[in-house]
Amino acid sequence: MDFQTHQEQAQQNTTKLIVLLVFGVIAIIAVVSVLMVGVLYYGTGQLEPLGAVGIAAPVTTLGVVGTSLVKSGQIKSGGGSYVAASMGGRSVDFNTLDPAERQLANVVEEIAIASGMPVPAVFVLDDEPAINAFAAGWTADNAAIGVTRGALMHLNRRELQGIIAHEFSHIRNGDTRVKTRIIGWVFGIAIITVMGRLLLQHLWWAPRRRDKNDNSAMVMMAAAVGLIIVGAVGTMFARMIQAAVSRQREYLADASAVQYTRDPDGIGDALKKIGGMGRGNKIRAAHATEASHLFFSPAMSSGLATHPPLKDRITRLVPHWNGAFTDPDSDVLSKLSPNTGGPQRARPGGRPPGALPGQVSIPGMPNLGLPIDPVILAGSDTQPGASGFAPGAEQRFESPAFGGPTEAHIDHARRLLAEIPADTQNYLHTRQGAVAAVTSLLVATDPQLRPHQLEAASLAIAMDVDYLDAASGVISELDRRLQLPAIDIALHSIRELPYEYKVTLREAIFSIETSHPDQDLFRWMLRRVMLRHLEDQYDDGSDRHDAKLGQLGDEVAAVYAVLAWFNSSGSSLAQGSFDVSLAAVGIASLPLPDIKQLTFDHLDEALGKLSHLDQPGREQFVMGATALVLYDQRTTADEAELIRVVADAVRLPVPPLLPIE
Amino acid sequence: MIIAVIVILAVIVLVGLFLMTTYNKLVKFRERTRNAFAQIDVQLERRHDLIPNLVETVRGYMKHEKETLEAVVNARAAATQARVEVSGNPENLEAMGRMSASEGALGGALGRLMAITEAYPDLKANQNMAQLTEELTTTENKIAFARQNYNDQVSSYQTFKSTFPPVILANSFGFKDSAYLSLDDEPDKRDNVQVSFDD
Repeated sequence: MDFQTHQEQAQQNTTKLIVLLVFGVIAIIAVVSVLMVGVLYYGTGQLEPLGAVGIAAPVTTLGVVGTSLVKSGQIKSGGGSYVAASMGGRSVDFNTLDPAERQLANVVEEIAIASGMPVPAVFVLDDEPAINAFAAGWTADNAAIGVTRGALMHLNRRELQGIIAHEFSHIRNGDTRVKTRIIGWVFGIAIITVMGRLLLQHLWWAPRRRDKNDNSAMVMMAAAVGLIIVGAVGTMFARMIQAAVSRQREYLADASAVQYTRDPDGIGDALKKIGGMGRGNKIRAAHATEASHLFFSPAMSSGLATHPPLKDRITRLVPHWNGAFTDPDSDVLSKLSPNTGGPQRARPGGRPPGALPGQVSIPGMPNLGLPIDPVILAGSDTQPGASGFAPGAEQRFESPAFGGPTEAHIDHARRLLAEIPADTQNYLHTRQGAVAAVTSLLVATDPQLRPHQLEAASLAIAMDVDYLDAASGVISELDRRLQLPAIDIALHSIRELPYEYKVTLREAIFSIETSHPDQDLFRWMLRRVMLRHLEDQYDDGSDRHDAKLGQLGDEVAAVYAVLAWFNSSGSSLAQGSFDVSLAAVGIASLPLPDIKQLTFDHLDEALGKLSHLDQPGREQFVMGATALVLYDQRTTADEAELIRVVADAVRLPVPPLLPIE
Repeated sequence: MIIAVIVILAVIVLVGLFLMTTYNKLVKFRERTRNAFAQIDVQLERRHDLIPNLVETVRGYMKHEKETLEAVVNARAAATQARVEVSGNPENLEAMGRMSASEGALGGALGRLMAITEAYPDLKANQNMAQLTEELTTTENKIAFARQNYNDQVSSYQTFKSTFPPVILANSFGFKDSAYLSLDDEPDKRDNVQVSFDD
């Protein structure tokens, strides 16, 4: 059958169902009127039967019709955008730079042309990993279309076009109007049950008459029970008709989607992916139950399904379907990275549908007890700028501003931000760029480890190896003063990622973190800061900050010792700077521990504990580190930035240090 | 006698009314096709505007595809020229024919260029290129959908215009035919698939 036949059939079926509903409502009103007559006649004992009918019928009709009108009026108010926003939708800017949203906006405009309708408002449900979409609104002019983040992630362009066309059909055919009216009727019928219950309560509490011949109480009781039963049965049938109408409208919308796009496979494939999502495809939004009829695929599972079975829908669209659903992730990878050679490349082995891409362990150095080897320090001297600090212009800096940024800081920050090339900023603003830049920065620079880690990371987050490799330069080749701000930009973009993908990213990133040593303390610290920020994105923010500096003397000394070794490149200045820093936090002078006794794991653990210090403790700790780094009197911009990174590592972000002119 | 006069007057009035509504309908149909054409025109202009950007982006990556790039640039020049000649009037059959052919050729040249870009992974990874590809795709789709709509409108206009009473009015008032738009690449310009059975 072609789409036109499907459309006609769906329209006819809807008409039949509505006629059925109207007859049902009339029948219900008739039955209720009879019951009411009984109540009035026996309840008061004064009315003639005919007069009772005269009162009961209009009252019942008014009750049912009035309730239904009030209910549909409630739903109707506000327009499509209101409904979309109340479900947690975020309005999409049609000038967006985000590639996925840009594509969505484009697709909506295309279908608007194809269906000859105005372009509706478009919303994204950011927190919904399921593949779904909805249309809301009473008329074409105040309509809104909402799409879940999951749909943007999983569907390719054609599939997206299919479901957008489906939603356009709901708007065009006035489905929200039809459905809203029916919901009104369901409420109107349900009100009868409420009436019966009220009557029953009234009889229960009313003073019983002692008259033995009085049958009225019995009759009233029977009438009340009758009302409840009629209301309940009526509501059930009305709901069934509602669901049936809704299913017909879905068939109609599927057929119309084909009419607009002339491409049954687009929407068909989208449905197959939804099938592949399986039980994971549920909408979590608070209002989803009320709005379940609006969605593209069932938002809820229930006996009174508002949507036809997926298999029926697919078979109607693609008659020769082989019955197999598709893996919803099959397009995710190419979406994140247009340059991957194809999905199969990044998905070693078959995963069950719905599983997250890439839980691959990243080979790294064993991370236990790895010494901070002086050899590393020595080796670093041959690589200018790789260890300690690049020789930079000496500068003097103000001490860190714990009280928060002043106007001068904000000015300074603005200048820093302006120094980051626009290309880099744009790149980091894209989700794909941010993920690539951050992940590649975590990969070891060691030429032996790097290829393995890159390979594994590229599999885990589904990006091309070379692309990932190239991305590592984006941040690390910036001036050191700009690296932390650049990471902040990237982390912000990552925050916007859909939750599901963030979980994958986290697994990938934390498997890279084998805290492999680095010849460069700054880079090591930067990585650590980045990881902590990423980790915090998954946290509920219930971190304790109650440790006292006095209890963590060992940890403080460990961190300072590493700083002292790195800062002085093992020269005689090390002991002096170590002493100064210890004095700053009020710890008695200690001999500088041998660098061989210190491990990166040590450092990691110490910083972790120090991040639980209370506010004054953290400030004092950072002051000590500042004293240490500035000890040699030759402060460079890079050193100033190291202080910031150390501070950030213990959750005490400080504004950039102001140079003293 | 008087009855005859009344009858004749009534017939004249009725015929006049009929002619008027038919004429108005013709005008309405023609306006609709022009409107529908304006929608395509907007998208065609957008396509022409995107091409210099595309060529600029692609050029840096493609060392050996000079001919393909030149074909796109030339096809664009021809299409822009044809679009100017039509100047929004779909009843100019000759100009519409040229436009149809040149847009078709441009579409074909673009298609070949995009097919070649598949072979350049660096190019595909380029953010700018990804954006351009998306914009081109959406523009192509919009052109296709707008063309569907336009051809539907033309079809109802032509049908109405060639049915019996309106055909007289249409001819005497000079309602011209509107051209269907195909915008397809000419079949003989497409590369034939070469199949070879010897290894």
